Order: sequence, then structure tokens, then C-alpha cells
Amino acid sequence: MAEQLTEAGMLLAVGMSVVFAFLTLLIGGIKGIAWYCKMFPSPEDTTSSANNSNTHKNNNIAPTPAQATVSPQIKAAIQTAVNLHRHKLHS
Amino acid sequence: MDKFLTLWNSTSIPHFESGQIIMMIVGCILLYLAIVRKFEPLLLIPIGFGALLTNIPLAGFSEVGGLLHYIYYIGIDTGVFPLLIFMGVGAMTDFGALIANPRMLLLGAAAQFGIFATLFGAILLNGIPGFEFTLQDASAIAIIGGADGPTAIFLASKLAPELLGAIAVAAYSYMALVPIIQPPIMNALTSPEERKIQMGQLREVSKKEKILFPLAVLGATLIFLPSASPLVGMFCFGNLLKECGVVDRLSNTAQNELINIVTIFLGLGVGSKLSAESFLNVETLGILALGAVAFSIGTAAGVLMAKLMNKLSKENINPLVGAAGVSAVPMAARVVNKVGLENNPHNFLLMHAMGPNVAGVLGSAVAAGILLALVG
Repeated sequence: MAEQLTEAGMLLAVGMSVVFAFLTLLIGGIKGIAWYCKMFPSPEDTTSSANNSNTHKNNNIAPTPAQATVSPQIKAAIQTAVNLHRHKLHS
Repeated sequence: MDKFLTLWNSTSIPHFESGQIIMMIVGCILLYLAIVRKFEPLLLIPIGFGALLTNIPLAGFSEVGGLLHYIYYIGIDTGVFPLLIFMGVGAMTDFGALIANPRMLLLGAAAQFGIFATLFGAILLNGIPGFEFTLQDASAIAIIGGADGPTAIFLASKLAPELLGAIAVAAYSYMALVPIIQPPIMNALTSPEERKIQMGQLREVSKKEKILFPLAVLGATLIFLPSASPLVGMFCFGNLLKECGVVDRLSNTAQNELINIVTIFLGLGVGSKLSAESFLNVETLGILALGAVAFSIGTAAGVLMAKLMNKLSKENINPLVGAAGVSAVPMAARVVNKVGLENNPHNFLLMHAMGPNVAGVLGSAVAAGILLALVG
């Protein structure tokens, strides 16, 4: 039994070392992937993140194609028009 | 009169042995736990029913020519079913939380301590009359601490096929008992202040990162740990099907139809190993006890590692998330979230716990690969 216990001790030491080493290697790998994706972002990612932010702001209402293509100028014009309309209603 | 005797002998009644009746009762208990108590019903119903079928006298379900015999030898003895299940699990897993906070992999690694520490327990049991565990048996039993059913079945089928039934039943039973086993350990090892710690919001992960991740894991596995590549490889393949976004049909099949079909056969195959001669012995009691020890040590190691990381790290890490490192996806992460909310009603730890939870799946597959390489 003593021999088996020694072998189990070796397995514990080697096993845990390899598990930690392997998963630490993966941490490096994931950080490398993150760095690569930050340096070379694909166009889909920028579109999808813009869509995601729209989704959050609209309380999970799926964005329509029109929403995704509204330019900031048109958005500002609509906002001004809405504000003017509200101002007229209150006055 | 001879005709009556022949008819009587063709019924099961004169052929029943006490062991078979006891194993049928065990099968009924598994069915009860699954149907009434909702304990891992997807697996325990096929396993429980398989136990009933395999113990029917004269039916020969598990003898050469019987259905369960072929299911076992085609799917489990070859290791095919656990690997197909792993592919489906990969297709259902979102690694976003882990990619956003990769340090959580260390918690998945720490929780594997339960597996390796239990090797000692299995060997020490040999001091008690009736126990004769070899190092292969001890390794197959210890993997229960990984709290990952397919990994436990895969390793047991390779290292200790005669113990497979007891190991599978123990693995799935403890996974079902996660909400009962883990919280006392988590509460014992952490202070109320630590349990209230709030963690920072996770960053958004791009699609490209999610696609590259399974390829990177596979690359590291095939170079450094090829013995783990059957499990990790199928897991990564399933995950790539999900994340690449161009094979939705295959991804849906892997995470629905295929995994459901394989689950049925895997459960029946495991149930076929619940025969009286291989289950009703003192070693089964030892396996059940060692499984609980392995699971508890794994949980404790994960929590202690998270405490250490919280002390050393600039960012806050709630030590409770370490408990999710034992795998048991997603039950362990849900338990972490529940215990966190009990201590701080505004602290939602679910997404933070999913990181170590999926890291635990990888960690237990790596541990299985190491045991297979060193002991198999």
C-alpha cells in the first residue's frame, strides 16, 4: 500500500502541476486572441456591437434595418422635432 | 402436470434471485428520485429503467445477443457515447464569460484537486477487508470529483469497466445533490463580508474571439496533452459548430436531437451495468463515500483558490465563484448565484460563476487525460 500511496502522491503533484500549467497557458492564449481581435477587428464585430447597444437601450426590442442605418444627423433632427412638439404641447 | 411445470418455469418467478430483486428496487429508487424529486431526470430515468431491464430473469438483456449488451459494447466500451455527449455539451456552452475573464481558468484548475486528493482515500480504503482497489480503479473513482458525468463514464470505461455502474450512479447523484452539498462548504470557508463582494461587469466578447477560442484550446491540447484530445477535441468541435454561425443545422442537431438520442442509450448502457453481482458489494459503498469526498474537496479547493486570488488581485473576486470550478454546469453556477443573493440581494454572480464553471469542464477533461496518460 505504501508504494501505491507514493504513486498517488506523484500523480497528485504531476497532475495538479500539469492542470495548472495547461490552463495558465490557455489564459495566455485567450489574452493573445483578445489582443489580436482588438488590433484587427472584423467589420461584423463593430456592426454587431452597435446593434447590441441599440438592443439594450430599446429594452430588448429587436432593432429594425431602418434603426441600424439612421445617421446621427437625422437622429438629432428627429430629437429636435420631438422636443419642439413636446414644448408646444406644454405651453 | 408436466405442462404446468414447464409453464411455471418459463415465468420469471422461480428464477428470481434476491440480488436481482434488490437491484430492481435500486432501479425503482432511481426512477423515484428522477420523476418525483427531479434529480438529473435525463440520465437517471434511462439508468433506472436499464437497471430494471438488466435484472429481469431469462430476458437476457445484458447477455450476448441482448439489446443492452450491444448498446454497452458499441457505445460505452468504445467510449463513443461520452464523446458524443461532450460534443453536444460543447455546442451548448457559451465561453463568453470565461473569455472576458480568463483568470477564472485558475479556479477550474484548483477544483481538480478533489480528483487527485481522492486517490489517497481510495488506496487507504484497501486497508479495510473487502476493498481491493488498484491505482486504475482509484483513478476512475476519483474522477467523480470532476463532477462531469461524460468524463467520469469515459475514464471508467477505459480504466475500470467493472466499476462503471457504481461510478456513473455516484457521479450523477452528486451532481444532482450540488445544491445540498456545496452551500455548507462555501459558507464554512468564507466570511459574510467575502460573500457580499460584488464583482465588476464583464466586457463584451467579440464573435471572432469566440470562434478562435475552441481552435486555440484544441491546438494546446494536441500539442501538450494529446491523451485529453478525445474529450477536449469533441468539446471544441461542438463549440465551434455553435460559434461559427454558418452551420446552425449541425449545431442544433448536436445540442438537441443527437445529444438526446445518445443520452437515452448512454443511460440504458450504464443501467445495464447495475447487475447484482457488480453492484451489490462493499466496494460500491466505498465508491459512493469517495465520490462525496472528492466532490467536497474540489469545492473547498475552488473556494480557497478564489479567496487567494481575491487577496492578490486588484479586482474584486467573490470567493463563492470558486465553488463553480467543479464543473456540474450550470447547476454549480446557479448555486453560487443563489448563495450570493442570500448574502447580498443586489449581487448577481451567475455570469461570473459561469467562467469557472466552464473552466471546470475543461479542467476535468484535462485531469482525465492526465490520468489516462499516467495510469491507463
